Amino acid sequence: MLKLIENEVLKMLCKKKLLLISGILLILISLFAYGENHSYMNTIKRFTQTTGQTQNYDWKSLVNQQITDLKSRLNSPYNKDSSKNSTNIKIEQLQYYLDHNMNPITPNAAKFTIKFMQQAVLLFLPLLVIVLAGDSVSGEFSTKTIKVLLTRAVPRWKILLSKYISLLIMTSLVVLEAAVISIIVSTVMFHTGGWNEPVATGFRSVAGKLDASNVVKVYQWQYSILVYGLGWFAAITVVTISFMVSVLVRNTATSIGIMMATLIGGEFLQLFLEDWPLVKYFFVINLNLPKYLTGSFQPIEGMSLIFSIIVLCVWSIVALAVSFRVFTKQDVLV
Amino acid sequence: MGKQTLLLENVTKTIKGKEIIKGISFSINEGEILGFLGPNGAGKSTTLRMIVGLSTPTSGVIKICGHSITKNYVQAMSNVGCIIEGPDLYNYMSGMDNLKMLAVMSKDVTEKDIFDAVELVGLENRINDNVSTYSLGMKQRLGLAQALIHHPKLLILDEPTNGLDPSGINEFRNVIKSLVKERNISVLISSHLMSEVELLCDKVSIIKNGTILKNAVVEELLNTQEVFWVLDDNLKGKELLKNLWGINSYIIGEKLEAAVDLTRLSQINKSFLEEGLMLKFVDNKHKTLEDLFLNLTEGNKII
Repeated sequence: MLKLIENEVLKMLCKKKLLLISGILLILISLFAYGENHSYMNTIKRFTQTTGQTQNYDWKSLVNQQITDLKSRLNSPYNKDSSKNSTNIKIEQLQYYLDHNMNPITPNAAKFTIKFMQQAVLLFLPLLVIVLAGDSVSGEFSTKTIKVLLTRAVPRWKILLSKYISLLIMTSLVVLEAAVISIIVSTVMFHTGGWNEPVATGFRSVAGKLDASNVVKVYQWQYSILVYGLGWFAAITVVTISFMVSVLVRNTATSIGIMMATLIGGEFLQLFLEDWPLVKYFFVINLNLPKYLTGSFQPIEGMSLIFSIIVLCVWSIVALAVSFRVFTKQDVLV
Repeated sequence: MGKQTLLLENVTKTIKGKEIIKGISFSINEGEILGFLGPNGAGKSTTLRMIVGLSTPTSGVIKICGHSITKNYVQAMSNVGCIIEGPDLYNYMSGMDNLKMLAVMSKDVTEKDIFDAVELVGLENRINDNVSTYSLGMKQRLGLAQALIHHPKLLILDEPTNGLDPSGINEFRNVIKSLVKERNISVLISSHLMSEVELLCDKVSIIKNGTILKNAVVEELLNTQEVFWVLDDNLKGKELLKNLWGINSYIIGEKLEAAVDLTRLSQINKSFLEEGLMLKFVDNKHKTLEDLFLNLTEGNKII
């Protein structure tokens, strides 16, 4: 079994996909870090201009101003009722930061690394792992190599399992790589680590009010491990479903296409059909796990971190069951 | 009678409500080479796929060295090496990496086994190059090496000489023959090349529309009782055969053909000479497998 997994990992390495993914990651993270730095500079510039302060601005007054901004937005007649809740919570969160002397403004490596995963988990990371998983089985069909693979004295479920495990390994590598690259890039860009700064997590919104009683202060490094763990879990789910599609369609281009359409379509679904309760059972809606940690996040009524994790687990299990069922029974006619 | 390496009993296969294979049975003994012939769409590949476990039979039994392919997949498949429809291997790896990767999937394959197989198919010089740089003939050789690394007792080859040049085909034939002799393995070959099968195989099975038309030993098939003469006056010869020996004969081109008992041939020839006929030529009319094949699969329509 170990040898089979080794084979599969070797195959993926030989296709140089990981190299491609690393390249994409490096470019995108660099751009993202540059943009982050740029917008931070802009914020300071605007702030120092309006308040007339000099270079040594005080982040506390900036946060205070943000709170004022949000409050005025809350009272604006154009504001939708649905977003009021989260705005409210955001205000209270900022207030909490202010009260507890925690700086949410100045970017540093830790914040950037966390923010990157929070952004990437929804679309970017899934797209990357789809590239890996999309052809794991269908690629063997396209190149007809499935014949040599399935005419050995190895039962089919073992072959499929080895493929799945190797995918898990590769996905973990990609998540790890994303972490490492963003740590390096952001350290170079922002010069400060900030790994030992505290973060407040565990906010809960109860009836539109922020419940800070359960808030725990953790260090940034702990928080980032948590965020990347959740991101990893989301990526695994996407890989598993993509793996099933790859078994079902037997064509690499189609399988990657289907998965991309599903992911992007899921985003639309969330935008347009948020009133429809069934939507929350769709896996794409539930991918944004790290954002639950901020407390102000609830994409659709009734969703929570636990709910999303359970939904994703169910999807993975069903996808695996379908994959194994189909793969072990089907006739190979390529 | 040696041991049966492969046994098919009443195997059927239905795909999408259409019966592709309608109950075929045949067997291969140890050390035998069976040629599997049939027109396009006859069900050759489907049958071979069932034997190597790529698809499952709808009903019937397939046994390899006594192990049922459906119930005892691993034991059955550990005795099989195969090339099914072209040698498709991983293009982005070297030939050696391909073989090493496939070797670990079988039990007890040593480095030496791999090298032996490579040497056997004559690919030593290019084995470390990427497969994408191989010619079709080299891929065929690699395919054969891949099928041999784990010392199978049954070798299944689907169109194995596609893309090989004449010397390659000859070499391939010699490799198969020596393998059969040395390792006492059985081989099942499907091919369109009649001459190929004729030269290589001990037995043939001719299949059409999912049924076996003929299971036979090649030598017996080709050894017919038909004889032809080339005489200076074929018409007179024909009359003589009818009157003296009571044999019906046909004039085809410049040949006079008839089915006769070979023991009486010299007597017949003598009588021709006595009647003043000039005998230019007389020979056993060799039937080629191709004639037989065309004869049997006449009216070839894919249904």
